[in-house]
Amino acid sequence: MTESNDDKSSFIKLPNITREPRWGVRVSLIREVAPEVIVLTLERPHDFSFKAGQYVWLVIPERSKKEGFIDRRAYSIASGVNDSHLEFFIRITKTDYTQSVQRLSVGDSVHIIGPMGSSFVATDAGVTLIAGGTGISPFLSILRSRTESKDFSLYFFEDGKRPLYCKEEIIKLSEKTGFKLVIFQGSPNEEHFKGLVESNPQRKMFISGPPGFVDAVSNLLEEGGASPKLFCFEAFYPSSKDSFSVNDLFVNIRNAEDVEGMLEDTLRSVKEQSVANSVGQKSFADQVGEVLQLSDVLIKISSQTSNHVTVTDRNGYVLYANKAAEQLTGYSFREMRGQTPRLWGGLMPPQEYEVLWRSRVTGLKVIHQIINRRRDGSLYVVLGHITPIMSDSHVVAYVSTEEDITDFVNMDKAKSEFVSLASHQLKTPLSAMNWYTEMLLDGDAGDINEKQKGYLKEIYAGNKRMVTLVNALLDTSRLELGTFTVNAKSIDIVDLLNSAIHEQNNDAKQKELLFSLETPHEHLVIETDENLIRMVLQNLLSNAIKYTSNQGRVLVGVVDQELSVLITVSDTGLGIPKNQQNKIFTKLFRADNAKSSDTEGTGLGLYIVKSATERLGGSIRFESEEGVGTTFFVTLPKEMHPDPIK
Amino acid sequence: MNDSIKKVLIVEDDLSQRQALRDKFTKEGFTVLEAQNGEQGLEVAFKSLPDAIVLDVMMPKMDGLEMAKRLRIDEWGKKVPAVILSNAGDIEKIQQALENHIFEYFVKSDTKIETIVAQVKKMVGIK
Repeated sequence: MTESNDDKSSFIKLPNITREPRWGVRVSLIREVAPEVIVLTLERPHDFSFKAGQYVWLVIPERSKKEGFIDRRAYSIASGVNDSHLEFFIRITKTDYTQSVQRLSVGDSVHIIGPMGSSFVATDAGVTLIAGGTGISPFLSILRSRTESKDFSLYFFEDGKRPLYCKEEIIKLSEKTGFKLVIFQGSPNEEHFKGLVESNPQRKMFISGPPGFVDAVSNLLEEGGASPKLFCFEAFYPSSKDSFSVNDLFVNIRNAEDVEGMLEDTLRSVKEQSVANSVGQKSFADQVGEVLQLSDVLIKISSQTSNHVTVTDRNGYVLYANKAAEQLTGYSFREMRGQTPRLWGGLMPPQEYEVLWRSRVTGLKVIHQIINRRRDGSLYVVLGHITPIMSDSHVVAYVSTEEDITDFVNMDKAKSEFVSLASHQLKTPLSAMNWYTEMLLDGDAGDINEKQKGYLKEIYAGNKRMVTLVNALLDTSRLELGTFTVNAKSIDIVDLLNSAIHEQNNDAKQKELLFSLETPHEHLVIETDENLIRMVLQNLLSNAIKYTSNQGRVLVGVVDQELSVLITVSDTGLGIPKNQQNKIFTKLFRADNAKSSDTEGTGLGLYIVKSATERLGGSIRFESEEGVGTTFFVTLPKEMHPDPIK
Repeated sequence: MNDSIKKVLIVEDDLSQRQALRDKFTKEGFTVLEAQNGEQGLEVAFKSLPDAIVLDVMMPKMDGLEMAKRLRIDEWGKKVPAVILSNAGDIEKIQQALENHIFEYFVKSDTKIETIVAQVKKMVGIK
């Protein structure tokens, strides 16, 4: 990432290391506009599109003795907008970042990444910008780019300690373009917004500042009758002397030894600052302190663990990654830092990530199985755990651990494939045995006596059992491998039930069972896969017949439920013992009373039923009492949704 | 031998199964032609023009579905009655094939050999 210094006019578009476009630009002017406030002017690449209200990362590459080039990165807000230049208002603090800024001189080259964030949308309905602390920054570009003086106001909350670092600039702008500027001292309260909503209910509110400020203001406005639909907010961490951003902390973490030293330093400063800077509500320093204490323990553990561990800020930008994460993803921490996990992820359908997104709000821990891509392009499967770190009911960071389960998944797949292959191979001799036995029984090879016939029938029956078992194994492995092509077609479920009953009528007759379909519908057409629904019905019916004693009852029913159909299979059979009801859909499980009454079962039937029902987007449950009977309830959607990804 | 004796071609790679089918069809009065794969099956079919074809799905060189597809391109082959025998594993594949070309099909392990013969008899018009 070095550039030669001799060509000052050209902009170099850097290799695409990051997903966002990254630009190398020159510093063209540095001036101090107030005590401890400098404005950095950068030459603007001609094709860099930046709109008022957006922000960019400003990255200062620096040479370090130990590491070669490292990035000093900060979340900065460009405030001056014109065709040839970008301006950054920067308050000088003791952070490494601003010290790097101070070391810059005209002609030096820095990087910018972005732009990010939503741009300001002009509206005729009236606008109020409400800023707290450094939250003023994104508004500066908005204020500078506007010219008209319609219903436009800026409410600024100073905390009394820090001067508004672009105060003069804003006062000047207010005089020039005529927007209403109101400066308050201290925290916002309802008095501050009195009359604001009433004077123009359609007014758009842009709120910017630290998270606590943004929340407090939106609550006050909502209580004052403003519609949250008209709010637009952006929460920033202040990065001034008396507080620390989580980002500042992680920016320089290189390895476990660094981490411990840094954490101790930072925790000490945070504690000192918290005492010195005790404001009414929990200070930001306290909040960060809490996060750090958590992170302290976490990072010590995580640097030792074999699982991938990353910490991201609440926007998903990586702040920390452990050694295992480097090994698993193939990216170095340096490459991951400031990126989102999309660098190695992002391959799953969007709905998978929506769950994660929601945890931002709910604060719930999320566990999921996802496929990621390594730096070299190879894919791997992980079991991920994502835990939001909360402070004062705000998510401030996410801790994500990922366990590589690729081998496990492959092994499981190999097992299913083996079962599938073996079952296929078993079927060929079984078919031949069936046919030869059948021919012998038919006397095709000459007469046989009664005793021989009896033995042959035993062989034939045994062989049939084997076929049933192999079919069940094949169905199981195909459901597990997902090799069933699910073809939704219009199917009359009443016809299908009749045909399934017909197929098994002989078995029912032998036991003199009452076996019939009861339904108010003559026809009931649904969209589903015929093979899978047949599999469900065949298994449920044969179970019901098998476990119901002579002269019992097996009743099948189906009713229309608007969006779904409910199929019931109810018998007067053995029933499922209460203490085993929770295991009944488990592969190879058979209830004790089923085992003792019939030794032939495979333990696969209900597992297949459940898997197949779920493949169809449906659900299954049952009610059962031992000695009385069992009823299975299968709910199937009338229309199938696209095949869910396994 | 006269015209009323029907010729059936059995295309099956498994010797044991082919023999069972051959014996059964012979006993039921058919003249039986045999082939071990789809390629050989097509060759025999176009040379001998059988009255019906019984073919397996999974075979080396050319599988049964491919053979049936090629058969159906031919004028004569379009009309010759065919019965497809399969293992359960390939039902979907066969159903797809069935949408374009009409045959009967049976899952071997679930079907009596008698049923297969009865179906072929029906197709060639033997009562």
